[in-house]
Amino acid sequence: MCVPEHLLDLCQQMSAQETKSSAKIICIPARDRFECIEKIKQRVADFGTVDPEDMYIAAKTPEQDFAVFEEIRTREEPEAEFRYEAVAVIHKDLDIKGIEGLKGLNSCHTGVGRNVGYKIPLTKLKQKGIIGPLNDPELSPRENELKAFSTLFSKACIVGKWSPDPKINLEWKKKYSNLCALCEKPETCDYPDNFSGYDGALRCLAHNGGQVAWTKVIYVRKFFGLPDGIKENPEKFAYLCPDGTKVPITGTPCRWAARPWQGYMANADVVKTVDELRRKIENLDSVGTKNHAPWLEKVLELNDKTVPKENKIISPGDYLDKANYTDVIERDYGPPFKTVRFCVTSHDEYLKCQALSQAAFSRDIRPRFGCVEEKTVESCMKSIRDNLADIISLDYGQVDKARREYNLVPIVAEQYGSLGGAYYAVAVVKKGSKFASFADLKGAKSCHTGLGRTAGYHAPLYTLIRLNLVPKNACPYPKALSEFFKASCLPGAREIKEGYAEHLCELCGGDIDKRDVTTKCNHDSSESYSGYTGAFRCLVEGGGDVAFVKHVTVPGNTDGHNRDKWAEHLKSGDYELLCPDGGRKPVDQYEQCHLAHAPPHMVVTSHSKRNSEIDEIRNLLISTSKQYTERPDLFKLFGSFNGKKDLLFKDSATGLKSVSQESEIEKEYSKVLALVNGCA
Amino acid sequence: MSIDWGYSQYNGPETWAKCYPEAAGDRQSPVDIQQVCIKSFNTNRKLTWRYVPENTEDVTNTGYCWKVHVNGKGSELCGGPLEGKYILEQFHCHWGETNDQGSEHTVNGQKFAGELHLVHWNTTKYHSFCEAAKHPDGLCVIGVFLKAGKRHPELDKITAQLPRVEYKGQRAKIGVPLNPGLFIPEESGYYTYQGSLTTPPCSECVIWIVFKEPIEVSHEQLMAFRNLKCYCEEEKCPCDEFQGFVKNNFRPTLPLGKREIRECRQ
Repeated sequence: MCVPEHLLDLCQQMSAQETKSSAKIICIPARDRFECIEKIKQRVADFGTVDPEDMYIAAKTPEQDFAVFEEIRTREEPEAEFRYEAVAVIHKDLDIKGIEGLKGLNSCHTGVGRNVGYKIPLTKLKQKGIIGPLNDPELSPRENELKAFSTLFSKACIVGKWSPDPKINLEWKKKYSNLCALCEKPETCDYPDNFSGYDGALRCLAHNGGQVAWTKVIYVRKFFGLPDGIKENPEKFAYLCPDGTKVPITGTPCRWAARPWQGYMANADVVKTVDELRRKIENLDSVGTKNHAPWLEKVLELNDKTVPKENKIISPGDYLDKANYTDVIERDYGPPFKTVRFCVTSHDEYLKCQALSQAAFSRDIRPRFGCVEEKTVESCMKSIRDNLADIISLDYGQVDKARREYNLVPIVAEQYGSLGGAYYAVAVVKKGSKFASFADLKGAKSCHTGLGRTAGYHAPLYTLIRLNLVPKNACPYPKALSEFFKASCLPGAREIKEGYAEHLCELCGGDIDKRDVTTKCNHDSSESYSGYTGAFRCLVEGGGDVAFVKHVTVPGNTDGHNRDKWAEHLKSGDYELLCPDGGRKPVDQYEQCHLAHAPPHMVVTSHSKRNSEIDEIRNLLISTSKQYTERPDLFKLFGSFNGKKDLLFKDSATGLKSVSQESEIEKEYSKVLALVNGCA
Repeated sequence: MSIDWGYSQYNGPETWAKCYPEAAGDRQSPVDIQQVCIKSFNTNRKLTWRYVPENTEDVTNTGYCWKVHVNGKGSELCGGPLEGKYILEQFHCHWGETNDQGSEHTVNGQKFAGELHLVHWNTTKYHSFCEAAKHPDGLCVIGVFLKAGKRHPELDKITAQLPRVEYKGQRAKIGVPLNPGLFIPEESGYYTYQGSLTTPPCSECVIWIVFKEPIEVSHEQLMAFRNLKCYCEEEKCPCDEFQGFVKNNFRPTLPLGKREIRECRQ
């Protein structure tokens, strides 16, 4: 069974559990569910847990032979074909001729962005041409949707945060106020509201002037107290079908779409012996429920309210189509379908970007991510300027350059756990070495993250100038660095077409694992000593005396946190920080021993885009980071990919935050930049 | 009916694979060019083309479209994604009944009013067009999107002849030199991928080069395309949904599957 790696321990506990079935489950760890799908396809694993969205990703994988073989149903409705069915309920005597008759009605919804009360009616009404266009380029996708609803219905109740930005939320609620008019509290139009949610929508229909309500079948049954009919009178209401006909509430409901169950998916090889696997899962369910085993919920996605139930073997694509759910997942606003193009600088980064694009698309994150591969960060900046790509995340030193030379603007910043949006640039040395101050580093061998980057270049250079170890007028500074150190690995230095650049690349190793020296000194993951982890590796095994990295680099790669061969046995205690004002400190005392307090990495886009476009990209990034901070098991956005670190974002990032004005740290840091860029 | 395939509901693209099994392959064209799946590539070899305007011979109504036959002598297409030299064989066009459809390829789901196809074959490796069409690198088709706008003067040389080829099988000399190179947008990047002919037999022998920027043609020029008929003068009108006019002659897009689209910025 394939499980996201953080569930490996729990999965192994599960595997050790005795059951009636003697079949044994072997746990195969993967980065996330996305990689599990890949591993099941490649026969590295046999099966895994999937949501309908994961089934969608699986169905779109080329040359796949996946099979959904077991569903996770609820104990409440074990015989229901679907997890829930989206329906429209109206007053029985409503004079409506076909679906077009929905125009101008009062409409009750569960809440903004939700499946049954929002996405499904939107998708289906769009398909039928009832609801207006959703592709006005001047408006963001969400505003397009709201505007379309606002035009279609006279009044409605659609509560919730319409935008993650409180200012925009308020603005829209004023602009499209008829969408709040049917709520209990139209002025707040947010949760909790008596007329929101599955049952609230029905109350809105019955008691607040609503003419149509979008909800689920099971809530309709509860609301009308079926089968007993003791609550509201079902005689007065009816289901409105997608073909415009009415069906009595007491009859078989006609659904607009259904959400399929979660389930388990295998490859075709497993199908032959699937019954054994089904028995095993069912055995584990009963044992786990009895013992309240923690693995039950986490690994098998089962709990005391659910039950595994075998289904006829079916491909994930057919499974979704059966519920009319594929188009709900695929809903978009185009054509032309918008994409926000991430600029990437290596093939691995391209692959991670594509994975992100597929994963986010399946989870209703719009616009879609696209990926454009360029050779260098600088050509990415150029591409973004020329509208051939849209975004890239940059080190703050590069942000500064992007701003000055390419008219780009930062829109979101990375966050790093409790430190928020900033990090410390530090100098790391080996514990046994003799360096007691920066002056001692003269003639030493140095490892840097890369040319023009904060921790690896600006901060050490700034420190050396500040300490008068490099004279302020020793231009150009890369040359001064090459003279100060005996040899260095400063990835990207080859771009400097001068003799001394050789010196700055001397310590670099190319792609060490592939033994490819043609990529030596490249400023990307094809140079093994590039980036934070690379610079540290250069110190560990590349003959370096000092590595200029950030405060989390050593803890993140030692004490078992990095399972790569070169790092697996490293101890954080074998390394120390060299303080700019002399002396050394343990690696966790970076607050007292750092070269600079650096602003976070930021995502930039072109300043020439319209404000609405920039807002849209910002919202996209923030919702993406929110989704995958909450659910890293679905897709590990902040973390290594195929063994490569810091792709798209820094692995140490924990989230993204909107940036507008320059922070204090940025202002302070601007002084550093002014000094190190002041040479030309 | 004399037409074994076409674009009506009875003989349209969904039905082609019955008689032309290659149409069900996994390297079919056209495709939707989604920016999600694009890899940019920088080639040191610029895509270059050269045509001899005097060698553009005549225009035919094929019953599916208009097609201009070219004597390939002296023409040349090479560089970019191509190995070896390709020469021009013919060019033709696809269009729709209204200006919001008609192109075969689409970009992020967006359709254009039409699409011009300049069909070349590999003379470095093969001896004839027919031989080339049997090999995966045999043909190279340049696709150019058309959008309704300004009149295209070079295209006028063709539309001027269209009333003379109203019925299938008719042919007319163009009479004046016509430079196919003027249909290729200047300063435009292009997409390239491995695909197929978009009409039966749908052979999987085409390296596609689809230019990003559309060229403008006038509404009247597009209307002239839509006046062609898909049957011979002596035949009765096949009463399909288009009353025998060639109104829609584009194949819908097919899955990209495992293929990669590369984007080149000239």
